[in-house]
Amino acid sequence: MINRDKEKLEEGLTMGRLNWLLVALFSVLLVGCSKAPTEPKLLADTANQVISPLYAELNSQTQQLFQQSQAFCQAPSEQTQQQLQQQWRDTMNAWARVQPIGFGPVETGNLRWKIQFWPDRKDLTSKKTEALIRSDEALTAERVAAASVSVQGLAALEYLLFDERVKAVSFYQQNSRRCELLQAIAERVHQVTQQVEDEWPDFAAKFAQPSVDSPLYPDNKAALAELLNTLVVGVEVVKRNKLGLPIANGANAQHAKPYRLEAWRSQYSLALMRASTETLEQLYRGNGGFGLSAYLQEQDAVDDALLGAIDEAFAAVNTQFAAIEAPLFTQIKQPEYYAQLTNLRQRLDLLQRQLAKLPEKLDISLGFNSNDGD
Amino acid sequence: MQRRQFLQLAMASSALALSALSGCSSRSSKESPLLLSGADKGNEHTVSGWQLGQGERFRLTVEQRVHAPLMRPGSHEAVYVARRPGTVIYVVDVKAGQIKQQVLAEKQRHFYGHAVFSNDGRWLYVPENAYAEGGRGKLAVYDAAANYQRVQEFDLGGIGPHQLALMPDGLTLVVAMGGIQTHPDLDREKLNLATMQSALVFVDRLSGKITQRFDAPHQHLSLRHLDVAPDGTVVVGAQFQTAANPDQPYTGPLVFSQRGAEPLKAFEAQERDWLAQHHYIASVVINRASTLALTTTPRGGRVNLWQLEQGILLRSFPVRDVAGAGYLADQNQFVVSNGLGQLFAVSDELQLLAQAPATRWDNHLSIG
Repeated sequence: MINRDKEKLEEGLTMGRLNWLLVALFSVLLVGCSKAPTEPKLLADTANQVISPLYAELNSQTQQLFQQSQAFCQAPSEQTQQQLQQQWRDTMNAWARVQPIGFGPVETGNLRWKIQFWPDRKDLTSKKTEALIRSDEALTAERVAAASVSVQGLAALEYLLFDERVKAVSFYQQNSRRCELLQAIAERVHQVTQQVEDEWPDFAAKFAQPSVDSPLYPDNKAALAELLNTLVVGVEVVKRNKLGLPIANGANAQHAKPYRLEAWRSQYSLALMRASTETLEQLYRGNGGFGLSAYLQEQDAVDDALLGAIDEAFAAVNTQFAAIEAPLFTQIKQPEYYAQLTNLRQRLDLLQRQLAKLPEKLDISLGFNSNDGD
Repeated sequence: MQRRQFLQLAMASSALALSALSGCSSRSSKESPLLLSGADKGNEHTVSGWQLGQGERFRLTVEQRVHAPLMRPGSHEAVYVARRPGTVIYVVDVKAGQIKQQVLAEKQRHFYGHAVFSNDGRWLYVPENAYAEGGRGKLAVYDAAANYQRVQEFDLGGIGPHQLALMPDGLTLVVAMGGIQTHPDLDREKLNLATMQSALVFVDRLSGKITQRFDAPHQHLSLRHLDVAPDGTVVVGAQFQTAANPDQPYTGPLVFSQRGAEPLKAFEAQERDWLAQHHYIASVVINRASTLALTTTPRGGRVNLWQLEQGILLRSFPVRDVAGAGYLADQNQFVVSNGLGQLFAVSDELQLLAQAPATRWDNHLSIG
C-alpha cells in the first residue's frame, strides 16, 4: 500500500512537473507573464468568506422569523407582535445584505422576487394579500408558493405586520386567516432562503473554478466581470432605486416621494440602504480573505490613485450614512434632512464612478448584448 | 482552489479550446453548418462566418455595426444589414470570404438591421425608417439579381418595423412593427413612448397591401423579433418600453403566438419567469417540426425553450450575455451565441459547440 501510494505520489509529481511546463508555456503565450494568477484565490475567497456567511445568516433569520410568527399566532399580543416586528427587521436587514449579490442561486433560480417583491408602485402587495385572505382557499406555504410573487416574501409580511390599516393585534384575534397567511408566508420565505443556502456551494464552485464550457463563467475574466458588475450595479441600486427615486434625484424636497422608499411601511429604509452598502464594501475588501482590493493592488494596470479614490469614496459614503438619523420616511421632505440625503446620493454617485473605472483598467467587458437593445 | 487544480483546469480548458478551434471534427466542410453573425472585436465591428467543427471562415471589418445576417437562397451570398440607425447592407461572398457589395440606404432613410429574401432569392425586403416623414415605417424592395437595385417601396402603416419573415405561402410577409419612433439626429432615443403602438402586420409582398394587422396586447409592449413555423404559426417576442414608471416591473408575458385570423395569444409562464426576462426578448427561433420555440434574453442572461402548440415554458437555461439563436435543421438542434464568443447547442441541456477567441457575437445568428 505504502509503495503504491508512493508510486502515485511520484507519478503525481511527474505529472505536476509536466503540467507546470505546459501551463507555463500556455500562460506565456496567452498572458505574457509567468506569475501564477491570483484570480482563483480572489474568486474562492469572495465566494466562501464574503458570500457564504451572508446566505447562512439570511436563512437563520428566516427560520427565526417563521418560529416567531408561530409564537405570535399562538398568543397574539402587543408584546409578541413587537418581537415579531423586530425579527422581521433583522430578517430584512439580512436580506438587504444578500440583495446586492447579483449572481448565484437567487438569480439563476429566479428567487429574488419570491424573497422580496419590490418596487411595488401600484401596491399590488396589499391588494393581492387582502384578496387571498378574503378567498376561501387554505392558506399554506404551498398555496403561497403558487401565488403571485406580490403576496410572497418579506414585503407581504411587512404589509401584514406594519401597515397602519391592518396591523392591529385585534384583527389577528378576530380573523384567524390573517395569522394563517402570516405563518404561511414566513414558512415559504424560509423554504426559499434554505434553497439559496443549499444551492450556493455548487454555484460557488462554478464561480470560483471557471471552465471553458460553462455558460456562465468560461474564464476568470467572466467571473471577475460578474464581481465588478455586482459592485457597480449594487451601488446603482442604492443610489437610484433606494435613494434617488424617493428624493426625486435631489431636485427639490417638495418633490420627494416617501412612498417610493423601500420598506416605507416599517420605516426601515435607511438601515437597509446601509446594510446593502456594507455588503458592497465587504465584496470589495474581502471580509478578511483575499478580496478585490488586495487583488487590484497587484495589478499594474490599476494605479494607486484610483484605489485611494475608491477608499475615500467608501469612507465618504459611510461618514454620511452615520450623519443621517432614521427614519427617512417621516423626515424626507424637511429641507435640511433632504440636503443630507442629496449629499449621500452625490457620494454614492462618486463611489459608483470610481468603481466603474475598474473594468476598463482590467480590460474586462461587463456585457455586450446585455447592455444593448434593439 | 489549489494551484494544481487550477493548472489542470487551465490545461483541460486549453485542450478543449484547441479542439474547438482546430477542426478535430470528422464532418467535412461541405456538411457542417456555417453560422453567420455580426461580431465585435475590441472596438471594431466585423461580419463573421463560423463553420462548426472548422472554426472561423471569414471575419471582415466593417464600418457600421450590423444586426441580423441572412443567406440569399440558392447562392453563396449573405447579406448583413446595419442596425439602426445604420445605412448600409453588406453583401458578402461567403465562399471567398469577401465583401462583394455595399448597398446604401436612400437619403433620409435608415435600416433597422433586418431583411428577408423571397424564396427564389431574387427580392430582398428591408424595413426602413422614413425619419423625415415622421418616422413612418417603409418596406424597401431590392432586386438582388440586378446588383441590389432599389426597385420599389411599400408603406407599412406604422412606426418602427423591425424583424420580418416570409410566411409558408411564399407571398405574405409578417412584420413586427415595434411602434417606437427614433430619429438618427437623436441617436437611439425613443421619442413616442407615451403613444407607441406596436403590431404584427401581414403584407402581400407583391402588391404591398396590408392583409392583416394584430395589435400588441399591451400599449407598452414593442413587438420586435419573430419566427414563422413551417405550419404558419408566428411566434413573436416583445420588449416592454415605458418612460412613465421605469422602475415598475412588468410581470406579464413577453412572448406570443399568432395563428390564422386569431389575435395574439400569450405564452404561459410564471410571473417570475417573465420577470427574469428583464423586459426583453432578443431572438426567437422555431424548430422545423413546429413543436418547439426558443427565445433568448441577454439582459436576463437566459435561454428559454417553449412547447409551441400550447405555448408552455419547458426549460430555462442561464447563459451569460446570450442573444443570437438559430436552428440547425440537419442536426435537429437549436444553437445560441453570446457576447463571450461561445456557441452552445440547446436541447435537454446545453453543450458547448465552440469558443471563438476575442469575439463578441452580436444580437442575431443565422444559419448559412
